[in-house]
Amino acid sequence: MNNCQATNGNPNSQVGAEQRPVYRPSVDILDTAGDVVLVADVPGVDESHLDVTLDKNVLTIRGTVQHATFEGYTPVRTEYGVGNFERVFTVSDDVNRDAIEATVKDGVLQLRLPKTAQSTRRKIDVVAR
Amino acid sequence: MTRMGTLWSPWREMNRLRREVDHLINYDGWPTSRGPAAFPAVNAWENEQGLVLTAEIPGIDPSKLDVSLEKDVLTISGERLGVASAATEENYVRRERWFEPFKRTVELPFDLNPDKCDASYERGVLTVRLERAPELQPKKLTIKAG
Repeated sequence: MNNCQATNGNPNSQVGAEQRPVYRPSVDILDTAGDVVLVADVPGVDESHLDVTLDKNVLTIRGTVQHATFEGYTPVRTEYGVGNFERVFTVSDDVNRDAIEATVKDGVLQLRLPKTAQSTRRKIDVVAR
Repeated sequence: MTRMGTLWSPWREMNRLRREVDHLINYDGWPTSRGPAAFPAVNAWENEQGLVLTAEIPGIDPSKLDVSLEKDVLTISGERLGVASAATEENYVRRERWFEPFKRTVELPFDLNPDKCDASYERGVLTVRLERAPELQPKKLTIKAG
């Protein structure tokens, strides 16, 4: 039953280099007057296991899930796979790179990408890949 | 409510189908849960004393999450929180998360002790620990020397 883990639960799953599944988290992207807000579901991930990087225009979210193990118990049902999260976005130049804020609460990552002063009226593109 | 939850999703359908096929192949005595209401997905572990179940429910206010047990049926229901209330439909550039109220019943393979259940919610993951009903607990027999 355990060998189903990599394919169960998430249609976007793929097996990572370490033979651990990597999932593409579901995201919402909101464009408001002052900033772009990106919200991603990353259950099982906390602040210390989350990595958000912005390299040029490429924004990458990586989360490492702490695998739940229960001493003395045998797995009897596996409906969802547990693995890491990764997703890449392209961010336009109008984002104030030094003011990006990331918070994680209850397995939900919220990224606030403030717009630069001159671009507050313009639409900023954050393209999910 | 949001539209995403009610939209027909080929991914969700495929996922459901795969889950059912997986279940047929790996039939292990656990009753199958059918239908699109199978959110949240549940993983389970078992030993002689009881069961541990986990479910991924990111972004829920624990006070809006309800876990109840009746004999061998566990019910998980609740409603997830949306983003900041100021956001309107037009603000969404992309929308993949959903916030419909959900209710999932999981039939368990044996009766459990309603007085010994413990649920915790951490990092978006619900963990429920359950003990087998007292009459189902393994009994240790004393062997008398003949």
